[in-house]
Amino acid sequence: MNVAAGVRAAWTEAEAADPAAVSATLRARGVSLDPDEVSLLAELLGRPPWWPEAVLFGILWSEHCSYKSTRHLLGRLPTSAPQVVIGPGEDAGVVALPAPCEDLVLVLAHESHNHPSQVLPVEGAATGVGGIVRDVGCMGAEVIGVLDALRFGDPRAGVHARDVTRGVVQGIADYGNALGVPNLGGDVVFDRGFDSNCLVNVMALGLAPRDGILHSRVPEGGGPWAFVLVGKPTDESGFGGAAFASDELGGDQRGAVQLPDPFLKRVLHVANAEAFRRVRERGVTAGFKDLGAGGVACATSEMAAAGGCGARIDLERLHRVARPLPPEVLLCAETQERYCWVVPEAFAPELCAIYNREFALDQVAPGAGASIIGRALEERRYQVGWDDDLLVDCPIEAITAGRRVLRPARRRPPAAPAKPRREDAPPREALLALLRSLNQGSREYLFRHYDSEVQGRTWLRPGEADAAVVRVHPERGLGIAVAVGGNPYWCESDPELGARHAVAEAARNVACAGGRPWALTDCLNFGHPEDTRVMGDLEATLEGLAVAAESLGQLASHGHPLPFVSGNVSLYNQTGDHAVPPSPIVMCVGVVRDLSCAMGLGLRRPGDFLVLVGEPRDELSGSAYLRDVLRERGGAPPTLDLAREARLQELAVLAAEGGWARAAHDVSDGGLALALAEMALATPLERPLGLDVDFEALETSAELAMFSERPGIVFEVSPERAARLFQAARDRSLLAWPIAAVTPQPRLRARVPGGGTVEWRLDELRAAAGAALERLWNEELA
Amino acid sequence: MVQSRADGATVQAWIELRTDDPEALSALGVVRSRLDAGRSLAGLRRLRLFELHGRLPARAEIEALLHRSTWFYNPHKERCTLRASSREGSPVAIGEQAVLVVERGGERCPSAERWWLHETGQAIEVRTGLAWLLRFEPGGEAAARAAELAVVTGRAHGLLCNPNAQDHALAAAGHLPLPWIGSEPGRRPGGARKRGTT
Amino acid sequence: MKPRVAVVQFPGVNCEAETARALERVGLEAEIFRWMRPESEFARFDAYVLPGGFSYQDRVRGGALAAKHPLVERLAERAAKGAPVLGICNGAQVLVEAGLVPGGGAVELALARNRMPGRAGYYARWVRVRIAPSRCLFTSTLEAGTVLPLPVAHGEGRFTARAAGRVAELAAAGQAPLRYTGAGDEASPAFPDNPNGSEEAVAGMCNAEGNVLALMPHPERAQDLGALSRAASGPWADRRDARLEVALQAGAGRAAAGDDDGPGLAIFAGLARHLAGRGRA
Repeated sequence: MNVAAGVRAAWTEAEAADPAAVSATLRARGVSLDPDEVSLLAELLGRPPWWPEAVLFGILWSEHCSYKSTRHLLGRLPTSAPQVVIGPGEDAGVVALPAPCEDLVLVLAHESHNHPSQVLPVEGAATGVGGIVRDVGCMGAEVIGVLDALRFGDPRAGVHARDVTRGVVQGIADYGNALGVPNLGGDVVFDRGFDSNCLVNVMALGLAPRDGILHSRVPEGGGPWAFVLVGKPTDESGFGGAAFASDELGGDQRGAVQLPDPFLKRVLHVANAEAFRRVRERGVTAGFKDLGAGGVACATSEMAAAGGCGARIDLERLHRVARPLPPEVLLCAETQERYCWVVPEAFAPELCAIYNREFALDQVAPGAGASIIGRALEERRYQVGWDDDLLVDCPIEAITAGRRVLRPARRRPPAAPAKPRREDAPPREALLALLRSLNQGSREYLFRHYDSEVQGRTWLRPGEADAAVVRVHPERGLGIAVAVGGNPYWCESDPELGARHAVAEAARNVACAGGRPWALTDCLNFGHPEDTRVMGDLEATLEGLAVAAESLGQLASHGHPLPFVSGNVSLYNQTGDHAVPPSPIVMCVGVVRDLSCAMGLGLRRPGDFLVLVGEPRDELSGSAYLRDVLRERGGAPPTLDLAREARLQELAVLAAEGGWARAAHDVSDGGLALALAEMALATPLERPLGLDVDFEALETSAELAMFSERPGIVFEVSPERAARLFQAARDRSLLAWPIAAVTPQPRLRARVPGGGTVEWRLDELRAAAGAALERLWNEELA
Repeated sequence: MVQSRADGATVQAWIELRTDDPEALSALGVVRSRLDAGRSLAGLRRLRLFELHGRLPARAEIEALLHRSTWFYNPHKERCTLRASSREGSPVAIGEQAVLVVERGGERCPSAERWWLHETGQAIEVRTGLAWLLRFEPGGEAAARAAELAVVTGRAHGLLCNPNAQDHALAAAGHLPLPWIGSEPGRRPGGARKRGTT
Repeated sequence: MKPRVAVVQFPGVNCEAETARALERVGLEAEIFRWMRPESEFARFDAYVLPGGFSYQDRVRGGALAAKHPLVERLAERAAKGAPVLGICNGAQVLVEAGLVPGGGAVELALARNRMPGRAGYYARWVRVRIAPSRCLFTSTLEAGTVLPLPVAHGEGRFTARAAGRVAELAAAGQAPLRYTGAGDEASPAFPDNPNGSEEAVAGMCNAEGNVLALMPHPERAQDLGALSRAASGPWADRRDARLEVALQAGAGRAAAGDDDGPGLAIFAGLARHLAGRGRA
């Protein structure tokens, strides 16, 4: 190996005169630094960088790591509330839980793995799950759930779109199932807008002792501190992945995707749990961070910078694959399944022994283990050595300098509300067509790929309620509800209003399951930041997210916003001129005070009434009915009155906590008719329940009554509790309609305005709902 | 439903990981440390085998189709070697013993067949199995040891094939049948297949 | 002193914690026994549970590599002396690959890849199993004919044997104490009631003595009545609904006191009763 090549300057003093030329040369060698950054780097170092330094800063200043185009906009999001323990900034956000779980905190993270999944769907999605699980795990938490929000192209668009869909699902299943973390659902949308750029957003939840949170930094004082790398032996895999995620797709980029190993990861997590136990028992102060983009370089330099000190890393001490690799590869490779500890030097050997001896990681994956790779420096310098050579030597200020790129933005006028131009469709056929569509059909075919019950915490599974619900502790009644939101059609036609809906929908889903919306995470999936329209949409989106979050926090802490505690920005989801629709994806977690009052969406008891709380009457714009039944462009989303939405969610939570309602389901894609069908389809196959529905009660046309997507919630109430719900709705100035009665017959029978009585058998609804995804897995749809 | 093999050609596609194969490494470790017949096992490789049977296009086009599809292999992490006649060389190196393991009743690949039909308009049969390539230290009856390791009969005997749900066949380098998967033992003269014995 | 049960942790298993919890709930002392621990400490336990997961990442076949582990040899010795052994999901695969089920040391069965119309690979769902008459100690608290709702989650769970009729023979001999069942009492339910195409709809197979059980469904995931799948129906769902109704009447945060045992706990209760009645092995 040519070590000399490693310490050569990346460019000469003479070449520095032309930063643009330097930038182009670097790009050809796989390092992305724009001309401004070329000059800035030389200025920060006081000399042209050595080659490993150029690689390091190329990654640190990539869009993926630096948020250089968006950081100034992200400040718009509300991030504080009394329950927030750690807001955005570390690998994951942390929120406190109420009694009887005050001794625990909930850890949340949200990431995207869009580009890798488009190129290599199975590995891309699997490493996405792997990465998000590390983000939560490195806070000292046990990971208790993952979710995924998926946006795929139209499967009829070509073989690749189908391969991406099947591959991503397989990747999530293969990895998550083996890891032993339950899959708590998410959502999936198919649209032409994602033909060349799929979106794979992954989210994870964890629990940690309140006093056992580990921070991603060198701890204050004490010392001397040792850096200990644990996990897979470093190789060249994923080299350049961070730069990869910040460039448009094109050419063969398969070399940048990392290979996952869930087997090692599982054992590593069991070993980590033992290490956490030991650290806490012994009262050892420690820092802990996962390795992601930028590998050892980013993790160690950021831990030093966050701790206000320096670091010296000696690369020759790294456990690594046998084949020789250039030092800058070892320094920056994105080899999966690795973490970095910072612990007192005296404790480091004991820590290494946990991984190397007690869990013998080497027997699980050859070469895996733990090694001491460096120490913290009082001097605020970051140095990397390789035998006797110095590869990196820069002031910590250079690491933390951060980059800011001003991107011009152009806001666009929101789309006008659409009115259906064609005749309305016959109601009976329209509901079946919605169920048969890829986007409104049942997700059960997908859920069956995933283990949603490992760990034995799961109370309400994906498909059983609007939000998945898990138990926090076996001896305590507290639950966590979790759901996602984000309608790409609405965000495409009106980014700001679409973003408001994304927050409202995620929180409403949580409320429908009986959870008090407690915290949010987000990922902003957009096209090129150089495109003024993209930046305009991004600005509008952040405004929308912020406004909605500011309005919906009262169920956790009165007078406070619903805080965003973690998030991610994914740009360059664009091919040529074609950017993905603006796609904010929001996760909301909520607190279920007692699991016995968590609400499912399935009908429970014949003789009960269904009550719709909402205002479904005036809008069809933006609906799935327009898109998938009438085949027209949807137009603007329905309006959203956030104050009213807050009262609606409060009603849902009080109905659950007070025991007024037996089930609840929100009205969203497909409108009231689809919501009612889903409530009937969620009853047990062998003991199905049906509904007698009166759409005439809504005093509007059939298609508005059935298919408007103006937000609302359908509650199932017993006859004796119905009055209580109506009163509570009235107290909150919410309109409530008795809309249906639960029947023991397996059918939906509805009085339709102007259409007499329409009837669907449950088995025909079920067959229609299950058809689309099963076909996608079993046919080559031309 | 098995079509007659009289019509059309058969091509084998041998798929091997480009990097170290953790599965083969794990199996090698267990075989060497726990099974008597495995103490002299020096190396173990694992290849996926596909056999395509029917009206097939030219070799280059087959290669291109396999490369493009996700139903056969992943060119990013695996390499594919085609073998179109029994005279052609195979990925089995001199001195290696090959053990083919096939899921009984599960050797056909309907998804791959559907994909092929969709892309080429030709209906073909695709069969798949797993080939373990065993290299023993010199000085022993390699074929007999391979046979013993092939079939699991108890905790201390055999590993690669569970005969209750899988079939296996043995071959040595240079004598690799084509086709190899799914042909009834009685139907091939000098059939390479051995049914496992307990 | 409570009877002690080892929850055997091979690398890659992932259901050890909730399995240990289920054991504790029926009054047993559960200890997770890591694969690196000395073999000499293994014999001290009164019973053994091999939990679900992916030991050795299902390399070669589910359970195939763990079945060669020295601890399994010790396990066979303990089983031969009558110590109860329960293998759940991946643990069941280990027992079958190790010849502990149906017993005698020879590998007479396979847990083969699922056969399911319209899909392949891993499959997760709640199913029903019916208790058949047998000597199995794990079902000893349950009357024959009892139906339990339990979840399955696996890719290789189809009981089959090379010898035609062997599975039926074992079932007739009382070695198939748990069988998948439909809503009625049909003998051979179709997918998805039989979620993997298992011969004779066998969900759990035991040895002739009844002390070793290979069980594909996950009873430890059905230990809490409140967590019963909303897709389940029948007496257990009715019991759950009745509890929810009590909670509903009581109002917020006042969960009904009393029995929250889910259907899966019965399997562990069978073990506890056996250990209590028999003294130490």
